[in-house]
Formats: sequence, C-alpha cells, structure tokens
Amino acid sequence: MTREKPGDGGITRRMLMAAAGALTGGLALPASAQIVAAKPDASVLSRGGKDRAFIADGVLRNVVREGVPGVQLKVRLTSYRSLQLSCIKGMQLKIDGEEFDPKQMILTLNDYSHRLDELAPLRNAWWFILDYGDLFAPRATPLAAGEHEVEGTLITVEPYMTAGRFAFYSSCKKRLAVEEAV
Amino acid sequence: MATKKTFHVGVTLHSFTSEYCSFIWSFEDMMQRAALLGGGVEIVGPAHQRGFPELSDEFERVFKSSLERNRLTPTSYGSYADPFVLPNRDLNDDELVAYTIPQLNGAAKLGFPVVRLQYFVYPVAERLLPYAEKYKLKMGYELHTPLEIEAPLTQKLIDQVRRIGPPHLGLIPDAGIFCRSIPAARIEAVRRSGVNEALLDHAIELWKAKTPLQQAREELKGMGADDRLFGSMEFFWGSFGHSDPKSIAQIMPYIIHTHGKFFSMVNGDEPDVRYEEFVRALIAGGYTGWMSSEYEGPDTDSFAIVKAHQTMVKRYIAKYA
Repeated sequence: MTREKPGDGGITRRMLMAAAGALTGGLALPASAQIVAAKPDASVLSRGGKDRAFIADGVLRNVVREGVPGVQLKVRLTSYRSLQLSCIKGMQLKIDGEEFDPKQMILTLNDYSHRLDELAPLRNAWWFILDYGDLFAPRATPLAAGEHEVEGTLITVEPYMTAGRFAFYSSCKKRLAVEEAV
Repeated sequence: MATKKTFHVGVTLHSFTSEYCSFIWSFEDMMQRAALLGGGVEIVGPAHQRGFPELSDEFERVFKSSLERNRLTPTSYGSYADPFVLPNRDLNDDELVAYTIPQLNGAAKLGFPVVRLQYFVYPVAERLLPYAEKYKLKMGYELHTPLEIEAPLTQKLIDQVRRIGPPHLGLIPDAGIFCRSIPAARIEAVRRSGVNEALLDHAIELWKAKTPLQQAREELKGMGADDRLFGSMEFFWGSFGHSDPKSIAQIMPYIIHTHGKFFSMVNGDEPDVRYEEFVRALIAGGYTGWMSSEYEGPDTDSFAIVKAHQTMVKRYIAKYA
C-alpha cells in the first residue's frame, strides 16, 4: 500500500484513496466483503439485446489447447466500462456442479491468452467492454453431448471505486449445450 | 416571459449503458439519440473509446464525423484516474499524471471543452494545469457521492479550486449528492439478495439519519450484520448523498458542467433526488453551461426515461428562469 504522506492543505493521500465511496471510513473491509452486481433485466433481451452476464450465450466446446484437453466457452465483462486485466481478480466456473481450478484456466481476448493467475500485474492490457473472451478450463474427458448447467462468477475490482479492499461478484447460471459436429 | 439566459440540457452516453452493452444500440445509434435529447453529448472514455487512455485515429474520426452528421455539441469528457488498478499498491503521482495526460490530449482532439476529473488527481492538479492550458480545456472535479458539498474532503477540493482553479480547474456537481431517499429499486434488489430484513431496514434508517458509514457499520455489526449487508451499505452510502441544494451557492463560480444523475422517473418526477431545488439553485446562481442527463437505474428504455428526465428539468427551468 502507498505510505501515508501529507499533501497540501493537510489532506493525505490515504484520505483521498479511502474516501472512494464514503468507503469504509478508512477501515479495511474483510476480504469476504462483496458487492453483488445487479442482474440485467429481461427487458433488454425482449428488445433483441444480448445477455450481459459473465457466462455468455453460446455453446460449450470440447477442445484441445496446446495438447491439453478441456472445455471452452464465451465470457463477457460485466462492468459498464473496459477494465485493465489487473482488475480481473478472479473467475469461478462450475459445470454440472463440477468445480474447475481457476489457476488452470486461460482467458483469451483478441487472440492474446493469459493464465488467470498472471493477470494481476497487467495494468496496460485491457478488456474492452464490448468484447467477448474465450475461457478455457482443462478437463481430462470431453463433456457429453447435450445440455449442461454452467455456473460462473466474475470477480472484479473497479479501479476508482473499490480502493482495492473489496470486489464485485457477478454470478450467473445458465444451461448451455455442447457444440455438435455437422 | 422569462428572458433570463439559462442552462442547456444534454445527455451522457453512460445513460445508454444497457442498450450499448447489450448490442441493441451501436455507438452511432447512441449519437443519433443524443441529437434528439438536447444535442449536447458527453462520453465515458473507457466505455466508448477502444484503446483508452490513448485516442486512436479511428475513434477520432468516428466521433468527429458523427458530431458533424448529427450536429452534436461535445460537452464533457469523462476521464478516469483509476488509482486502484493494481492489487498490491495505489498508483503514485507520476503514474496518475502519465495516465491523465493522454486523456486530456484526446479530449481536446475530440473537441470537448470540459474534462471530468476524478478527485484522486487532487495531489497532481498543479502538474495537470499546464496541459489544460495548452489544450484549452477546463478540468473539473466531479462532486459525486460521497463528495457531498459539505464533506470535509470536498471543502479541501474547493479550497484548491479557489486557489489555483479558474479558468482551467473547476467543479462538476452530480445530482446524486442531493438525495432525499434511497431508490426503491435498489433497496428491493438488496432485499431479494437475501439479507436480513430487519437489519436492512435499520441500515436504511441510519442512512436517513445521515449516520456516518463507519458508525452505522459498528452499530449494525453489534446487531449481527454480515458482510453482505456491509457491501450493500458501501453502495448506499457511496451512491446517495445528503447535500443541501442550497450549498450550490457556495461553489457557483467554479461550476463548469453538471451531471443530471437520476435513478428513476415516477409521474414526471425523480422521487429520490431534490431536482426542483437543484435546478432552482443553478438558475439563481446564473449557471449557463450544460447538464448531462445521467441515468443509473434498472434496465429500461433509456431513451424514453432520459426524455422524461429532460422534460422535468426543463419544467423546473421554465418555472425559475
């Protein structure tokens, strides 16, 4: 953390940072403090819009990525603005109740791939708000054909709001089908 | 007849987030709607501009050609400080300056006369001023909740603006600091998430009583509140402010732009924000700049709700001008 230093007019940098939302009154929040993001309303979908949830509409794909078999699906950023990749604090993925290890997951944006645990220092690489990403999770055997229940959570920091002390959790659950060969 | 010169009403594209992020409206679709909503347009750098914080040649051309086509006036550019972009430390002064300069440069190239600043750049304001001069820009700290006008931190910002501000540094009040209540839809969303009802009700009472967040947290903690409720409180205290619109008089000479934040419209009025008093204070102070309608509420037809907001604001303008 930045060390406290006096600014002009008696205002300290820490005061400035801590004021990011009446936020915490300078107190550190427990790591488990969460803000659950609002869910998009069905009115958007009824007007022909695309779902903004973290797990995007689309298919599940059984793929082999650089020799590693796994499942791949489309994901979206749930903020209102583009975020630096360093603000992607984590992702959680479950398919039919089977939880995947985030450390093994790979996010691909605009043809650049990143392991999730390598995102923290990437403050100059961006996820543009309208772009879909591909999320890859290793899995020894292919998913069976047909529909599966997919649950996902995107954990983000809003880099002007959260003072690094709490995160937004945006969860969704939907049924997606495995892409069929034609 | 009212002949007093008054202020203009436009829109920030932030109001259209729902349609934009759902691919119902493209960037150009939003610009076309802005032309029908007062003709003054404000954008949010990292939402609308691929390549942010740099300005790409492509976006410059897309934006300027759209301004011409739709006869729009660029009003204010939403810049960002993003001091908490790294998980292990806050950005230092040099990094804040380096992140802001291309945004100022880009805003000027796009034709904006005003750049909205986040207050985190307060320690480096004097290093940004020469760029504002060079690019002929006015920079303004957004007074967004929790920066109520009466707040000690805001008073520090005002002191700095008074000392070094005009004409290149000013203030941009956001109407969300003038709340009389918490929007019902927000309370319902928290209620549905399954927090303890009695504790939520008590938290709302503490907000109404203008209890400082830290004190409210301690009181509720003693009653057994959990992290989920605390998360919601961060949001309430960080979004809905208690400023008195009369305080506008204190900052009037420094106001370079305003945000018409609103959360809902019911029977032609914003039930949770003290708009009549806000508009009246702006008129009394002789404000002649822009107010950008800024909708932040549940997904709905954003065009219709912004139209309703502007009808309300114009009604109050007509009443007091």
